[in-house]
Amino acid sequence: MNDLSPETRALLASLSSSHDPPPEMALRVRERVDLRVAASPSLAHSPAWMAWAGLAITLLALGWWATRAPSPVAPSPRTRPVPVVVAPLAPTAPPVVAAPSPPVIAAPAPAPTVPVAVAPREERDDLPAELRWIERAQTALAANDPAAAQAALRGHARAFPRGHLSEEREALAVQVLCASGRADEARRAAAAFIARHPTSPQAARVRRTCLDAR
Amino acid sequence: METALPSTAPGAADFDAVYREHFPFVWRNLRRLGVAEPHVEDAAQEVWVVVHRRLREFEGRSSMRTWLFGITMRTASDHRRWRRRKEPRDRSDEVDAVASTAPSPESLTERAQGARVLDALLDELPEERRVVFMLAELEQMSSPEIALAVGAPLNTVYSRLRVARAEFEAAAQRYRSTRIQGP
Repeated sequence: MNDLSPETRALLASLSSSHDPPPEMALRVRERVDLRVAASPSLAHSPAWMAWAGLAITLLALGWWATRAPSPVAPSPRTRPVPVVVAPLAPTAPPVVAAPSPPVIAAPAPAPTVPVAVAPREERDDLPAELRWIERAQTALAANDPAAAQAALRGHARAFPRGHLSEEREALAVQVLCASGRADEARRAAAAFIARHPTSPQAARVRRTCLDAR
Repeated sequence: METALPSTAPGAADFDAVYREHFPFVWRNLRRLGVAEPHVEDAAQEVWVVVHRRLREFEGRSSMRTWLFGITMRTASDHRRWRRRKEPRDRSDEVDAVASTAPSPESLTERAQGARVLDALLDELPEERRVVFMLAELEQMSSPEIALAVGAPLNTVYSRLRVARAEFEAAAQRYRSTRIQGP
């Protein structure tokens, strides 16, 4: 069979790794896949990690609902919002205790910029639109523009208070605080995030946020 | 390198292992199949969602890489068709265009420049021969493995590979000569 010339083979060898993924991509794509899978209705055949991802989203939705309830009177079942995902419980894993807390943005400090009290309205199920907000925030963070990142997170929180990517939004909010020079708040927010979402795929990243800052 | 999942107990529990081992394989092959850098993250996500859904169907009759490549190829094809509808463009003379800007300008990293060159060279090959060439020369797959991956008879794989090598050689020579003459 014809073979390549030594020069072409050398050129090919020098180029062979140029299409490899950047190192951060494995985690990034995995997070997106997990979210997609957790949001899909075919949970019957899910592995345990997926069940937990679904459960985390459910708890987020319930936590959000609990904090937005205007009065201590329980709403009638007719008006009770349906959780985003009803995930099967994994029987072998220990239970996750998630404190019901507002899953909007994980800044514990009073943050007037964060629309916690968003007007409850019909929320679209539009993962691509959610991703655009989140990616805008990530891009702004990468460009060291925390104000723009914060604006994008706010946009996501307004449009998708209980969105599939709420957890990602919270994790990014911790990074935004750090990038804004609010290291102490970032660390408190990180601790709160990890307490709420100990099994989150974001937990490791959040834990690292602002470790070096003073 | 290969993860041959047992056919008796395949499934979602193995997704983690498959993902860890083969994520780079899927990514780089999407790129080589013509999915542009800005879109490869989306396409990779599509592939892995499908893998997650269908991992139970994997019966171990082919290697995991072969099976994954089938999904990767279909996803890349869908993606390119979709992009073409959105933004048709003329790709002629791309090797020359890339070569005339090499070596890497400051704005591009060496790797990004390498990716552009490889994109342009592979783009000189028609789809069916490019696939065979990629798998043989860049993934070191055997011809029988390639035949399974692309669903073509073994003899067809041999003949495609022979022609593809000649085409790639010609494209590489053009690239080298353009670089030597330079702008």
